[in-house]
Amino acid sequence: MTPDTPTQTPDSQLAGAHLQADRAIRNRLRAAAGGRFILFLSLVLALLVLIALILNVVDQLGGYVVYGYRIDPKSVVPAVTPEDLSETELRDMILNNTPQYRLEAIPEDYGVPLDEMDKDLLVEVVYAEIPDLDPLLGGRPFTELPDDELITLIQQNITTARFDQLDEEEPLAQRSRAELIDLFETEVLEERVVFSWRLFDSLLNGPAILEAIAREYPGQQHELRWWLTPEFVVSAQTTRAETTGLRTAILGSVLIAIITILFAMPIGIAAGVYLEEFAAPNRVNQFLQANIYNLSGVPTIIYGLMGLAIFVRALGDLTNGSMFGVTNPPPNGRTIISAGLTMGLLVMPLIIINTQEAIRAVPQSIRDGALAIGATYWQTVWYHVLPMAIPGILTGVILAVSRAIGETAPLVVIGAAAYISVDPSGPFSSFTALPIQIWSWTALPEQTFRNVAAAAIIVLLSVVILFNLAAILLRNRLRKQM
Amino acid sequence: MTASTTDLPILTPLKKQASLKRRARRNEVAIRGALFVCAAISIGTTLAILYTLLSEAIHFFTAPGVTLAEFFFTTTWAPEFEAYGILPLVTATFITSVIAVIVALPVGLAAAIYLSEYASPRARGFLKPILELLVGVPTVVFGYFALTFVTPVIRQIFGEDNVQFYNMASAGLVLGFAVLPIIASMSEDALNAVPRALREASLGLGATKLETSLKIVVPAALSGIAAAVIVGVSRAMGETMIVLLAAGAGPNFTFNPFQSAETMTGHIARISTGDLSYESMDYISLFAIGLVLFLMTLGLNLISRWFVRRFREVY
Repeated sequence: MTPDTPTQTPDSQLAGAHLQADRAIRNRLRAAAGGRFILFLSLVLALLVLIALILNVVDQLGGYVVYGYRIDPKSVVPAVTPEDLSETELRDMILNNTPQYRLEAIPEDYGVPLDEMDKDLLVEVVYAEIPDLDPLLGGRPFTELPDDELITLIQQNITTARFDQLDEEEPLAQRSRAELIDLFETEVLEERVVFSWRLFDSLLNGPAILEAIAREYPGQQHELRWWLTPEFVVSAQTTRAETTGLRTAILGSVLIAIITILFAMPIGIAAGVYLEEFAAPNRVNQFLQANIYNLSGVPTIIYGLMGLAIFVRALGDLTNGSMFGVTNPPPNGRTIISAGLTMGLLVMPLIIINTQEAIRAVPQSIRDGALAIGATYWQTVWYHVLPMAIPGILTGVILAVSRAIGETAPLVVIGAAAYISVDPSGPFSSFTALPIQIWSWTALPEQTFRNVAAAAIIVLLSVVILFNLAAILLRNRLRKQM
Repeated sequence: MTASTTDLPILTPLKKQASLKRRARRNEVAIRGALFVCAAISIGTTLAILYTLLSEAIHFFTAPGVTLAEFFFTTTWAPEFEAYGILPLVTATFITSVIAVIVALPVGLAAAIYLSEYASPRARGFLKPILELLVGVPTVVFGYFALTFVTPVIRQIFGEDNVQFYNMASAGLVLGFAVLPIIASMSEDALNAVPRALREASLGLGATKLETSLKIVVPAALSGIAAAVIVGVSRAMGETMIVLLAAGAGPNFTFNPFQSAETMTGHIARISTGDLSYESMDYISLFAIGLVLFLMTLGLNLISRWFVRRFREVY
């Protein structure tokens, strides 16, 4: 646009400037559109992670598995002696296992033909003529054993406690044959998964996998196994992935959550009411408020350490119930009540802060109206403010329950992850809980335990997400009303 | 109030009339006291935490063979050989947290900008709850994700020889997604608090929406965003389950994120689940580590709250 460039007319210069400006604007608009897309993409990325997380869990919920026995059935099923067998069985055995020239000589040697021998003589012939007797006698398949013999074998080969437990669930004598064989395979032979495929792989490449199984594991049992079954959810915990269940852990989690809420809800709501309605803005109350915010940021494992030192160790005689006359108290305070109280202290700031927010949202005119007609402060709070704040307070409580169910670190410290197979009977029992189980199963190297952990994760996630969804929806509805 | 209802007020002798002077109502005072006690329980919690951490930590530091200098400046943590240098645990904590923030800050901030500046109310009502659901996912589930999904992927990309099975990169990455919602939601609050007039002025001058968002709104909300990042770091440092499952068992003084190393939280969790005698150095050393962790996260939280307060004063 400089006037001393004679080669270009001012008009064309202007047009050039326009063009340049146009291009600049177009670039800026393009950047704006691109930027918007990138921003949107990052939100999508967050959602993709959530989806990947869930798909990864689902992928390990099922799939083809090949079973093998840890214990050789032959070593469990007792050998029979020839005396136990019938005459026909003995005769067949001789016919099938004696060389031809001896068979021809037998009638002469013993004075009677094989068909006319009595049992004693047949037994004698079996011992004398069949050179390698043992494999023939031991090889009875367990699937052909009579029911009562199966039950005896089960009883002989597992611990008394486990047998009583099984018998209590359903008396063995009343179980069907299929159930008994199943029980024999899982409990005595310790049937286990020797190889497994992921779920999506199994669904997409089913035929190829079946071929591979037939090639590499001929004759072994295999199936498309689901790990998350109703049976898995309701049965007790065992040491093996194939038979373990979630009941023990679910009961532990439920009891802990109940204690947590019974402890934290009344105190948390009361504290929130005090700070919002009664506290004068003085130093003490400001300190209280700041302290609550700081507590909500303390790492959860620190709560675990505090619970370990105070509830488990210092108050061990209280928390294992021995001061309350509980018979057979656990050896230390690593009990449900210790976990519940620790978790209660952990979620309390959450309840307090949510209560405060809910109360703050109640219009001031409600309080003014009540006070103006002569209600006391407490009457105003109890009859007017609290009822209006209940949905908001409830949101906090629901979030606290969900937190109490999903939080793991303090439970790991307090529960010490001992192997627990007995259902908790009350606040003074040792315990395991859903997140503890997920952690300890995940930490094991076997793929089957990862499968079990995945099943447990689905149970935990559905509970926690349900609670969170309820809280989010409740809060959103509330915001619209206000 | 003491006047009988059958009497006409005019006939009541003045002396018997209800005094209009303010009286202490005993119930009110009692209720107020009870509520105060409930609020003070939170102080009790803080005191309990401080007491347990301090008393056992003092126990630890006064034990023979332990010095403060050794604790803070040496690089081997091996209680079985009486080596108590917390540095390897601290570096592992820092590395995983830094990786977490490197992941969570851009993604979280971008998500927050989109939600607060671009999304229609309807899209927002749908997208925000999903982000909030991510908050609800228990961290042990994230740990499972790290170990069974992210670790194999990282090892495939960078080669199994270069990446150990347990490594800080995988733990840090997933940790990032675990703290992403809190960074996003705090940043969004900060962006929402920027006055509308600033946006309108910028748009009125001809800036595009992106320019307005990045050059006007974000700088105006910077201290709130800083607060969000600091809280994110503090959460990442205090998180246990992800690092316990994915980062490895055993202190290791290294700055290579592809190696396994144990963080402070991971060490506390692993040791406290073992067979633990209450008198052992293993046990009391946990509280010394816990105290360091507590002070670090507390410091970060205080700084973050200072940022938020300063931010509020501006507008």
